[in-house]
Amino acid sequence: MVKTFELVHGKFRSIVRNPRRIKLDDYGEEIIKNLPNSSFRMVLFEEYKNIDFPIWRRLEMEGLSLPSRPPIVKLETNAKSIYECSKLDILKEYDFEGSDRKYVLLADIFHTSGVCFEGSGKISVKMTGDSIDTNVYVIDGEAKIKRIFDGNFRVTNSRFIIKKNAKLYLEDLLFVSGVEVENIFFYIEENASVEYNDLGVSKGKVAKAVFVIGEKDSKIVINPRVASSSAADVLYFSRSNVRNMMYVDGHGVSIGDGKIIFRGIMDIKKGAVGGDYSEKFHTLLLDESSTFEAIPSLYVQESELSAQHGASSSPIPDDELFYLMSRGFDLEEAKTMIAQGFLLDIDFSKEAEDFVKRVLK
Amino acid sequence: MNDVKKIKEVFDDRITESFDTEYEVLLPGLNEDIVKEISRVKNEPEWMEAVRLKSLEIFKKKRDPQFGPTLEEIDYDKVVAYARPGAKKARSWDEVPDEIKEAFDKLGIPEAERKILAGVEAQLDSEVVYSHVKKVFDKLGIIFTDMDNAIKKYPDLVKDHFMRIVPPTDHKFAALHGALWSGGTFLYVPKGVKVPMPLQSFFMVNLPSMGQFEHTIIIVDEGAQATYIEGCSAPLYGVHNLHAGVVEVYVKRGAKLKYLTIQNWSKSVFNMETKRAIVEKDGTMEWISASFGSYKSMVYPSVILKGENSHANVISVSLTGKGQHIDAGTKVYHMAPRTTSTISSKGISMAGGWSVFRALLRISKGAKGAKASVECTSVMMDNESRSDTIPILEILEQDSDVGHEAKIGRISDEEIFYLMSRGLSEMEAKTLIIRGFMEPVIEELPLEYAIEINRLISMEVEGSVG
Amino acid sequence: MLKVKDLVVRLKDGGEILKGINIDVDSGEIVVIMGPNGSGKSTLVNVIMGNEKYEVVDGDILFEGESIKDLPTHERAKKGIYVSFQNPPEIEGVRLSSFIPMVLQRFHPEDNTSIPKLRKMMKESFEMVGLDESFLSRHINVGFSGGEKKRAEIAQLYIVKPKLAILDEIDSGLDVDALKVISKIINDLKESGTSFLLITHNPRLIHHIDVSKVYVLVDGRVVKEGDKQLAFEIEDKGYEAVVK
Repeated sequence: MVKTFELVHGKFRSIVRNPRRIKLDDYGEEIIKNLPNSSFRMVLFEEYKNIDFPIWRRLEMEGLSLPSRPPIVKLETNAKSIYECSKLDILKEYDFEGSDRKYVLLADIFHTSGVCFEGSGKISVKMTGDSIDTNVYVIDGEAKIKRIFDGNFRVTNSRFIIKKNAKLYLEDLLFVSGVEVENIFFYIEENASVEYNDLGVSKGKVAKAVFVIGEKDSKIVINPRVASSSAADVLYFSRSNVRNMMYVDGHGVSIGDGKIIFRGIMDIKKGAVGGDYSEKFHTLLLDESSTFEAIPSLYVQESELSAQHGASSSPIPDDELFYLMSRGFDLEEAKTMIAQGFLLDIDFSKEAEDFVKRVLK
Repeated sequence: MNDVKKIKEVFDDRITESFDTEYEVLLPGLNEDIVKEISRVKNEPEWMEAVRLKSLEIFKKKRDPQFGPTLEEIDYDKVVAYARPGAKKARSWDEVPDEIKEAFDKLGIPEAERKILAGVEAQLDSEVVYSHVKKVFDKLGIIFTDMDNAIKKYPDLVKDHFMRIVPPTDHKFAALHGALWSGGTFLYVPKGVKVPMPLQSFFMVNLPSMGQFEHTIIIVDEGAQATYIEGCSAPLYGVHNLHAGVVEVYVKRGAKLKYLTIQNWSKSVFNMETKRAIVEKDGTMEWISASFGSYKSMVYPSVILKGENSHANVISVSLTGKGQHIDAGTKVYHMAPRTTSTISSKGISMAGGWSVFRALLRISKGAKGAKASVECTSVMMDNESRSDTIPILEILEQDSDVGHEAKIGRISDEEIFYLMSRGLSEMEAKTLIIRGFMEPVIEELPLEYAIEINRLISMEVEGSVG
Repeated sequence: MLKVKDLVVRLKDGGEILKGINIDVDSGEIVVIMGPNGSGKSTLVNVIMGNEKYEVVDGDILFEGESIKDLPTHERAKKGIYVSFQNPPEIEGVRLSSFIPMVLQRFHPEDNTSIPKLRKMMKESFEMVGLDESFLSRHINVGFSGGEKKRAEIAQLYIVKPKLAILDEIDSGLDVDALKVISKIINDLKESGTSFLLITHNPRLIHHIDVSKVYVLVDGRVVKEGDKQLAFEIEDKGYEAVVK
């Protein structure tokens, strides 16, 4: 399993702070019994049942209240369902800590939906409603995946295994009105590449973690666009011990009482000679009570590489507002226009604008 | 004191320890009797004894910080033994390890000072110099004395400022400090006085237990200005297992303090120092430091920008080498409108050292028009070392402008080659490059310190090149 | 059309920049304001458009007989004032192709040009100022050179056809050919009823334009007023000699 922190250097160790935890109503064995692949799920449950829900201070989130039974989402896709998946062992093979181990296990054990895909080509996935899902994608050629989620509650995992020399273009469009805990794991084999455009719009709390492990000469470029009028905590994690590349260039828009949290953990081990790593987060604070937090951290044990990180925040620049107002837009229109432009500066599908408008209006 | 209450609200458990973890630390020898004895021997007023006892209670309930280097190697028996009054500190010159003597030779420190620095002698024979300076100070109304003396002569002034911005509840080592503190400097600069020369704590090296739990209070009154140099400029011989000093700085309206540190503790020391400044309207606080020494460190000089239009400037350079795990950084709290801060850090890790730079920058709600920037550059001299950078930005005010930038750099072989092609040895070339990297701090220092830093750098490089 | 009356302006938290200015632009006129660097020309433009960085201490700004001094910026635009800025900002994510039709809507709410026709119009205007069509799909000024920004501002002007166009240093950073195009656009728009206030400290542009008035601004005051000849005089002898 890929652990988030490996704070060891020679004989030295550093303390890793664990979140406080809380006991809450939880799913048990009787639910697993009624789900397909129950024996597989039961194995994971052994670990799950001993972990309580984390208390996330930054998100002001004390666990979450689960629906009485795992909800079943409306799924429209041209890929296979996770229930038809012959590769469930991938869940164990490519396992990771995520934003919190509890939730990675929750989605793997109690999923009622998900996608299982192997191959290349164009895939579209649309989920509507509440969901606990887990997804597996094994990409062996050139693939273009577009995923849409529109709902109130979701706990989800996705594992992407990008085979040698393969190319993945991934677009995620998400709208959440309640709570979402999302964990994504990319395993990128030699010389494979990923471009990930990720729009997350929320009126509720979102905790998302993107874990990346890349082999030699793998590349990933992530463009997160996050807007929230509640709280969104997004974590980008990578660990490298060979030459590869990861770029994260995040834009956030914090609306009303919203809070955007961008975190980065780039763990670069000895051996990543010639690697190229960059994480940048910029957030616009739209309203007086909007806030932002950034922790773009770097852990470096290799000297011959390029690694940089940056973070900044600002209200909407006065000169931009003035310019738009000089072309006849009132203050609110101008703000909305700038915020929307800031989120949709990269190419998203047409649904993106609708999601953004739902939270900007 | 309202200030103190406000500060407590500011420091959540990210910065200090949380107050709710209860567990008993049993330390043989560290008990109420010891603490009372220290207080009695020092002939302290009752309130100070009360602070010590309260701190001891708090210490017993504190766990180690939940981040940073592991600290289980700290030998609290030794800590207590040295804190015990009357403990024998003087040693004979023969007992001083060769490594330290060698270092003194290289640094060109005069014999007399070497003995003090090595803990052999307790008196610095610089009375002549000092008494001249003292006349100037008396004329200006500047109080510059040791803490024991200050408690006796200026009891109210000390009481009002002692462990107010670093309360014993802050974290484990602040509590331990509160119980066992001894020695340190007290500086008061009266209203409007601009101190004509840098004040150096070097003059104060006349207390036997200096260097373990010293307490420093600096008050720069309205409109006054001063530069203070904390000179642990020579490699202090590690008689102390743990250094947990506290520095509290009060910068009043329109005042300005520049605090310079050259830290070069012996490489066996745990450096758990707490340094904090509170700045009133239009005031300026500058922490400027160059760090070379210690075994494990957790040091984060902080500034609380309490008054409108106050300013903080934190510049640090550090060299982390063989056998060191240095966790350092800074914290700046913007609590009032139009406050500004700049943080600039440069770190070098080499020869297997592990350096961690943390920055916490908070713009509180209401700090309208605040501006802050954090910039850090780390250089890795080899791939045996480790360099972590962990900045935390918390922006709770929309009308503020905050930016952070950091990168990992490397001294290129071409640079070294170029210098070597001009006849420099590898060591000289590296020293020169590191020296250039540290220039922002060095240029702030009086010449004699700058020269010492040069020597320290070449000693470190020599050690790593072999 | 535009009347600036005894206008005194200062920077918020700062000193006075304009110290009592009077300027008139009559309908159909082209009026030029010249002046050395730092004379207050760009401040005047920003104040006419209501930039909140500046505070109007005294005086008034009238547009078509009504005071616009207290109107928010966008209301001034809707009345028909278009400013081509000296340094327009870069706004990420907003494509010119969707922005320009919206702007047109603000200036002429009654306009119902069809989308294909509008596209053609935008393409033609951009090509006219020497920007190829691909600029339309780019974000507002993002990654544009100084000259490209100016050209894009002029192309927008040509599409919007405002009642009053204020062009701030439109000629700086542009070559002779581009200047020819701009003077042609100015003349065309003048024909169709747009009045102009041109801010410059370089009279090259006005050779081919029918200018009715020239004001010389120095240190926040109008120090001289005259016809087109005044501009040429300044070109020959410099400000100091002419103003004395």
